[in-house]
Parts: sequence; C-alpha cells; structure tokens
Amino acid sequence: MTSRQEPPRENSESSAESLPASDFVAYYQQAYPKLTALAAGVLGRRDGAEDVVQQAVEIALAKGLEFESPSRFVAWMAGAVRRCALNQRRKTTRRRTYAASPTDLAAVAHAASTTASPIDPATGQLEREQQWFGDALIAALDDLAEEARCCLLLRTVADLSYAEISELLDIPQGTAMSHVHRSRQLLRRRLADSPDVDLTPPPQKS
Amino acid sequence: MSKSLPPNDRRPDDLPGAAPAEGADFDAYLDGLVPEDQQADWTRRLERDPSLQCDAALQRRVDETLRAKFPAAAPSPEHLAQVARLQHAAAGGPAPRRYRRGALLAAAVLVVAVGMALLAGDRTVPHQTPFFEPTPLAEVYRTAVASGFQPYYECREPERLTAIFLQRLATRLHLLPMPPGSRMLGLSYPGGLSRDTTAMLCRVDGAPVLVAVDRRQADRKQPAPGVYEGQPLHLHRAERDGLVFYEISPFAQPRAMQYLVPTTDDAPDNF
Repeated sequence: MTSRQEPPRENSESSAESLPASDFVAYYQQAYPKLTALAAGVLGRRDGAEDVVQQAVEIALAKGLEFESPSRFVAWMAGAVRRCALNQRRKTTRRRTYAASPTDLAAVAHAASTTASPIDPATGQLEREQQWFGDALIAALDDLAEEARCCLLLRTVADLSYAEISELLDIPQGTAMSHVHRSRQLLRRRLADSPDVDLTPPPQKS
Repeated sequence: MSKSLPPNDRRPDDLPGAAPAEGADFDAYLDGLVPEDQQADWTRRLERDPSLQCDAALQRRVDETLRAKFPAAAPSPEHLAQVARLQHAAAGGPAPRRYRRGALLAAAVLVVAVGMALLAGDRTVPHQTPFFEPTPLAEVYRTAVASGFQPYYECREPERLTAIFLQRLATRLHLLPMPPGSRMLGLSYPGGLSRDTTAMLCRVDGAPVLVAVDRRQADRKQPAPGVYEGQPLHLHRAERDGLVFYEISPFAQPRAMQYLVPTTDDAPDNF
C-alpha cells in the first residue's frame, strides 16, 4: 500500500488552509474507529490496536505536521497506523509471546440479529461453544493476508463502504471487494471444517 | 430464517439441488451488492437450498462474532484532551531563538515558583486545571452505543454506586428499584459537561439509555440530540440537590433518571 498523496508539510509557517486546532481533535475522533479497525487488521487482534493509533497521532503531533484537509489527515494517519502496527506485530512475532486476551464479554452489537446472543444475560459469560467459535475465527483470521484482513474488518466492523476502504488503504475498490469476499469464503470454509465448531444455530429465545 | 438447518456436522452436498455456495455472486448478495432484479432470485434460491442457508447463517455468525471481538472503539475524553493539548502546543510552532530562550527562562521561573509554593503549602497559587473540551451529551450517547454500550465499571453493589457519586460529585445518590424491563448496566466517566460527569448506563426494554449527572454549575446548553440509526433521540433534564441530570435515549419520556435519587443514608466515604 503506497500513498499517492502529497506528504504533509513539516514544521512550516502556518498555512491558512491547514486544519484548525479545534477541528483536528474532532476529525481525529471521527477517524478513530476506522483507524483502530485498520490497526487491528494489521495486528490480527484487537489488543494493542488503540495503542497503535494513539502512537501514530503522537508521531503526527511531535512532527508538527499540518494537514490541508481531513482526507489528507486520515490518509497520513492510515499509513502511520499501518507502520506502527507492523512494527508491533514484528516485535510480537520475534518474542513469540502474546498478551493474554481477557475474556471477551462484549455483547453482540446488532440488536436486530435473528440469532440469539452468545452472552448469557444472567452471568455475562460467553457460551462455551461460542468461545471456541470465536477462538477458531481469530485463528483463521490470522491466516489471512494482512491487506485482506484489514479490508474485512473495515467492512464488517467499521462498516465502511468500498469507496472508503479504497481511499483509506489506497487500493482499487474492486481489489477491496475481492479481498472481503474471498476472505469471507476462506473463513467459512475453515470454520465449516473445524471439528470443534457446532454450526447448528442456537435456539431462538423469546 | 424459519426453516430448520441440516445437521450440524457438515454441509449436505448430497442433498438434491444443492449447489456450491461459494462464489463471488453469493458473497455479493450477502454483502447487499447485487442489483435489485437479482436479489429476488437469490432470496428464492436461498429459501430452497439448505447448503446456502447454512452458509448464510455461518456468515452471519462470523460477522456478529467479528463485531463482538472487535467492537467499535472510541477515544477516551482523557486521550482527546491530551491530543488537544499537544495540538495546541504544536500549532504554536518553533519560536525564534531569542524568544525561545526567554520562554524557557519564564517556564523555569514558573516551575520553581509553583514548586516552592507547593512545598510551603501555599494554596493561593492558581491551580492549572487540565484542558477539557465539553462534548454534547447526545454525542457521548452515540459514542457509547457505537462502542457497544458497555460501562467502565459494572458496579453491582449499591453502596459502591453511592460512594462513587459521593467521591466524584460530593453527593450521595442511590438507585431505586427499577421496573421490569429496566436494568442498570454500570457507570462510565465519558466527559460531556465536565471531567466529573458521571454516566449511568441502562437498558430499558432492550434500548440503551444513558443518564449523565454533574454539578449544576457545570451545566451547559445542549444542542438538539438529533437521530441515531434513524430513530429520534430525546434529551430530558432535571435538577436535584445541586446536581443536573440528563437522560438521553430513544424514549419520549424519562425512563431511568427518576430512579437515581439523593440519599441521606450513611454510606462508605471511600471504596
């Protein structure tokens, strides 16, 4: 993924066109979810994704960069997030250690889902089989190519359009779409073949 | 889908009419990208083909699990405040050398003065409060919902809830029993009116309801809450005992804030 955009100015005289200070925080806040999804895509996990994004914005601020528009800011940040996440991933791979992932108690986000929530509302615990499914999914996700994984998370988790993914990653829309569709097929195939995964949907709860 | 799915072990490739579900067209259909004239064809095919139903159900489960494993993140108010501080500092730009020397000297004098005053216990030195940028409470609500609407602290003991409000807002509050269909999830500290704004997150009839509490002097005029995911949001306000309460929810009437009331009962002062 290479950037086609002009690099931002460093340490220059203030420009009348640069993002006002008050807008910088607002645009950063707005871009935060997709930048975090991008970081998680590169890392292959959620842990550490927010740290990577925060590291990238601190780099931008330390360099005194000025951005002429929100889209340039997001494009630069996407590149910085990717580099920081790659560094983090390499460190993790070299050390061969992984932070213990806490039990994920996040409820399913979409209330309109027709399948039952995997969370037991009385205990807040994941059903055991759903835990295995989740673990198998994360393992299969890690086997995807990095760019494909990023596209998948940006589409599924951050709910970006293919035009937005294309702009963020600087790849053609068709490529982004192919990545997502092929990744979904691969994940389904892996999970369908997994002996630990029960594909019977849980019974509907009234 | 109302039809039952085949046994869980494997896809029933030997069932009559079963066709390989993989293919760009099927994923385009699941992704909502096929033209309208093809959607009906795919829907009919899905209803007839158990293997397609299997794949569609599995894809739905994969998507839900991904969203649960990677919930939408929102930056904390503390992090945004830090970014704003760094941005303001960076926007000043590098000063000419002679001014930089003077600024360093002035900063050194200030540091020494503050340090000496603190050592002497002098409270007259003005306290430099960290930068805080207020956020409309409807935006706090939207961010909380987008992040999965999970509290920072689940707060199962009534005494701890009382102690937290006492520590943060110098007022003991307790939660009256909520009616069926309503429950308190916990507390968060999302900012909003001030750094001390304390939010009680609730579920009422399955819908997220956020009650934000702060001192009355921190109150700020709130813009219209707008809509969220096509539903109008409502903002309700009340004042009690020097505190201001805001409830943000899809409901036209308050459904939670009235159950959070001041108490005169003795409660632990710390936790």
